[in-house]
Amino acid sequence: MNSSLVALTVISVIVAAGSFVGFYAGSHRKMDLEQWIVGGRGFGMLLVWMLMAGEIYTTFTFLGASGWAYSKGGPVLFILGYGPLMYVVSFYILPQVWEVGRKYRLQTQADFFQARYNSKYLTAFVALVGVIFIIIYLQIQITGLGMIVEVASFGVIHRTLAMVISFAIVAAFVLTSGIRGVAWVSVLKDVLLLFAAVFVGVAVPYIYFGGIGPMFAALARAKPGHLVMPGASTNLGHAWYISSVLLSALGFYMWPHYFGASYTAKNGDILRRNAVIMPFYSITMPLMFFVGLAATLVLPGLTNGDLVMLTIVRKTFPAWFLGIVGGAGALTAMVPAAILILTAATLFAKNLCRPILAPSMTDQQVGKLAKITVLVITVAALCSAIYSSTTLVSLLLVGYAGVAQFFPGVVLGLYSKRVTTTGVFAGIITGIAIAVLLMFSKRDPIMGLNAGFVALCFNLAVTGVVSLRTSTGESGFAPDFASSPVLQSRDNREPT
Amino acid sequence: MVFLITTSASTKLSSKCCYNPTRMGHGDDQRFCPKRPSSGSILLGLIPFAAVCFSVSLWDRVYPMVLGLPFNFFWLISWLLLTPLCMWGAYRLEAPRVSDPRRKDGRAS
Repeated sequence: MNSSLVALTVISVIVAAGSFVGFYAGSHRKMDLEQWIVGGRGFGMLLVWMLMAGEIYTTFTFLGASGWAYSKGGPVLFILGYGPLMYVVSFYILPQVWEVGRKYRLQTQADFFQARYNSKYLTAFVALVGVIFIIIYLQIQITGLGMIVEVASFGVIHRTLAMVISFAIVAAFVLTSGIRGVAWVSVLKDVLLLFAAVFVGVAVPYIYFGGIGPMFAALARAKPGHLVMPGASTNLGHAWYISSVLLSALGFYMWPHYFGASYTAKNGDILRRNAVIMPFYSITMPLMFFVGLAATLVLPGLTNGDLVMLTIVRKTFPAWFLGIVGGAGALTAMVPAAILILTAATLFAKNLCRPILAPSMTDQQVGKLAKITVLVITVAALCSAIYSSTTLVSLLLVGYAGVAQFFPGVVLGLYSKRVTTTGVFAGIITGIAIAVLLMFSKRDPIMGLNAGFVALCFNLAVTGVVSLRTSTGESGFAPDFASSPVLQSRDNREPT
Repeated sequence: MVFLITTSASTKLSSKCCYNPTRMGHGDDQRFCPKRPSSGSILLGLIPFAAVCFSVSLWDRVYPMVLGLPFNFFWLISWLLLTPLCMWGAYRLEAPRVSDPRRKDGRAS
């Protein structure tokens, strides 16, 4: 058997096992919208932890982080910087978001805006922006999956074909298993990823340099500038580091799917305890950096940095091991992709279509529409992945620049009575417009600062000023569930 | 030491919430408002921000190498372990406030 066949067989077995776990976990329960998207709101600490951890370790971690360590050097440290800080931020907002979520039976991030700002247009706008940036995030996962199969097959299977096949599997998986199935697959995925990351991260420096210490000693001699900022780049210095870390730490839980994952918890305290222990989980991240850094000396001259992890594994280890790493990587793309698709579909059906186009839809119809939307979103992301050529980290930064613009609306909405619907609307539009403008005109970073962060500052200022000018006294969450009719379920059942 | 200071600060400020409890039960005035975290716990949360974000120019260097790691890598990795410590402190401050039995209904007390 030749090496590509061995590697591909191992990958297929792992993906099949993962899909089976997902189908099995989802097959026991009646899948209404509540069960599909928030798991019946009954996840304990372990399952929430697995779900959140499962969402955090994406293909970006696996391929993008090592890729940037390889191609940029020092600036990759911003990932290690925002890693613990995003949990710090979550500690102060997620338990409160959960509380609101339980009180108003929220299912999506846009629902939160509905509960707080009581405007179906703001809600629909938030949903639309969420869906667009989710498609960008999905693109990271699709591209990653394609790369894995391409490298593992030694170039026999073309990346586009690989992307199409793997995403057909993901769509099928989402439709049948819902969020509970996804949470269980992330167990399998995390075990494999942890094993692959620790083994590769320790073994690669050991094999080529005799250990991590000697590897850094060799790097410090050969390329001392690569280990500090701005590394191999010219414009990613300390100001960029601070602004990117802030943007990502504040923006992280503004991703609609991470935000929504907090509703799955049984109580708010679970989220608080999770925020305390989650930083430990980032401990595998430096190992990804080590792989990329080792490759700067071992494999110089790769044009696409994102391929460095797989290429060095292929060069160093036997084919079956490349299969395991590839399989872990494939699941690492599938689990977050499934959650992304699930979230985007629900946002689209529940917060964009129903309130604006068809207010009389029942919950069952929304559920059906969401499932049809799964296919549409998958295809949209697939198309944008096929026709795009940016690196995984740049895609991620575009995504953060977009979703971070929800931050003022969420945090001020939770804790301030002065903030108004008009203010938040104006703020988000300003923020998105500035971010998109700067990024598409290639002015990121601007004056050494992350463009998304600059946009966020403008957003905050506009939200504040407009809110103060339009404030008519106190605003806030509706007194109770019954007074926010848009959020009520329409399935003629007694709310539980 | 930090603990003692922040604990005393938080007990002074924890009664402050954006929701005025005396108006509960008066129909239209019942606006649901989540409880703000205490200032003490927020102060504890600012420690990791200062350490890994704002102070970057102080620690972004290769030497001295610690445990075979360049200093910047060593610094950030050690804060992966120290951040949970700070947040555990913040948790100790927050948990007693939210386990208040009067808050069973999900409203701010």
